[in-house]
Amino acid sequence: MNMSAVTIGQYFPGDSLLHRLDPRTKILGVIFMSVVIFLPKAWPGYLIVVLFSLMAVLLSQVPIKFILRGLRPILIFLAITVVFNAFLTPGEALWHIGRFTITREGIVLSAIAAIRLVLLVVTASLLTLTTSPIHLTDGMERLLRPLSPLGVPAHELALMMTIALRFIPTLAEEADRIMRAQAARGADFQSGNLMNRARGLIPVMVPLFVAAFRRADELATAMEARGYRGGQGRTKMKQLVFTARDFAALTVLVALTATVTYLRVRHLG
Amino acid sequence: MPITLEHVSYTYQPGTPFQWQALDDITLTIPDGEFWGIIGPTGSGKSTLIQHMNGLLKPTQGQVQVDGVDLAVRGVDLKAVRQKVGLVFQYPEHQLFGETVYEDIAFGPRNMKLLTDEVERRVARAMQRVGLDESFRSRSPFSLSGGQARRVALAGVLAMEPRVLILDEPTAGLDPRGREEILSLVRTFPSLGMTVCLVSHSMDDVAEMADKVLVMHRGRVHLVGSPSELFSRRADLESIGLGVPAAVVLLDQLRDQGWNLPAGAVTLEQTTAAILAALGKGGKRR
Repeated sequence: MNMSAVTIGQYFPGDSLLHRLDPRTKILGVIFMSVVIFLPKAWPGYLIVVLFSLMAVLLSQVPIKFILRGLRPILIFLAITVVFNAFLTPGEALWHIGRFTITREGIVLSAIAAIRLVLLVVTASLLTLTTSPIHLTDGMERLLRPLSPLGVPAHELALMMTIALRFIPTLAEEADRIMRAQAARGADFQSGNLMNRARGLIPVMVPLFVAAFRRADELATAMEARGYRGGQGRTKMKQLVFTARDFAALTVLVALTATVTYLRVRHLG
Repeated sequence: MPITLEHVSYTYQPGTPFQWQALDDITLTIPDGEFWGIIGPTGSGKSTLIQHMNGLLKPTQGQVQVDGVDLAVRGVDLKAVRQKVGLVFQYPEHQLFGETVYEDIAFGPRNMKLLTDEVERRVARAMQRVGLDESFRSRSPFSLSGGQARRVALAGVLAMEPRVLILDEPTAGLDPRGREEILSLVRTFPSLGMTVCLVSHSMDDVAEMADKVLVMHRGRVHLVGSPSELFSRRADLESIGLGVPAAVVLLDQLRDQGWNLPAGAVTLEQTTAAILAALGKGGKRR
């Protein structure tokens, strides 16, 4: 039972170009990419998007292993999407398996769906792998700030996110410890049917919730003790500053979006 | 039921930037019926070590044998091993989950697939052993005081009637009274025929109760010996951030003052006896 298998929200320390970019640039980058990934209509467009993502992965200097680990949770979803697309798309039949038929169109759709899903997860993972949670929420707070006159509680949202992210590893560790303590009393989390396994989690969930509430309580007290009273008038120790690097990165992103859009409009890619 | 570790090494998260070698080539044997104290600075590998003794962790290298059975062999009944080698984690009351004290203590025996009568009998015996009377049976474990909750957690492990009991700092965070309650309970375990491993930061407790003391430092066995052998090496222990029992410090200071005191006293009683003897000999008694 190892909870550290969850890559999302796990920062991979480093000093690559991607690590040094301003978190706002990277957040905007992920937003750009999640649009760009869905733009291409034919292979030249996809080739560009895939190559660009590959370049980003290489620039991040994060071992491929860690990036692939982030794909593990969506593997089943990915498999279902691929299989359904391959079998259920009408068109030119290639193979027959029993009553089912795989079509050429189905394979193309499967490939497109797979590429889109994988790229989405990879770009999102790249953001969290190269940006420490503190920087990430800092960036989000700054990006949301223009919306605060509209009643968007930018600071509070950022704070909640920081705390949530901060406590993911803590709670994972706690869960791990509780599971081991119950295993020492003969608990079994691996065998039995689904119902039994779900019931087997009660001895883990109850103490975990109790611990989470206790931590929340202690954290609130500690924050009050240090005079925390929300975002008003609060200054930053580290100011976020856009550098030439960030402008360059954003320019590249805009260029990429423009190219892919152009290809799509011209029915080239 | 001796526990044997041979060249055991353990690395957390190998192959990542967070890689951390917690144990480095540990070889030791804990014979039947002995009371071992395990001491060492924070991060020295004590907690990792004890989790190898009931198969919760598998060594990255090396071998762990309980009662002659290699725990890494496929098909070994780890549940049975964990029943025989009881492990009480730090702050065990944080793992309570039952609706009632009874339900919580019965968790272990029920996992052993014992009959209802036997579960009932064991829970009753465990509660009696830790000094919880019948009135606690139907109470919620979340309504108890710190010391009471910890005794419930201990009872949960004792109810499995293990032959070896490993305790990770069982008195951490308790008030003096709660501490004394737990310690007097721990003192009874050897007479019940149990092998005991007590992980502790309290040199006084270890000196008083342990037959053998294991000192861990940076994932390695730093020293193993009887309390009197060990605590005579004060400078060595202090160099790795540990201390010696207050009684040993007192005797050292008296020696510096020119008192002629024998070596080897580590507990309060031994120290008192040594000082009284010295007073008698020196004719300083009024």
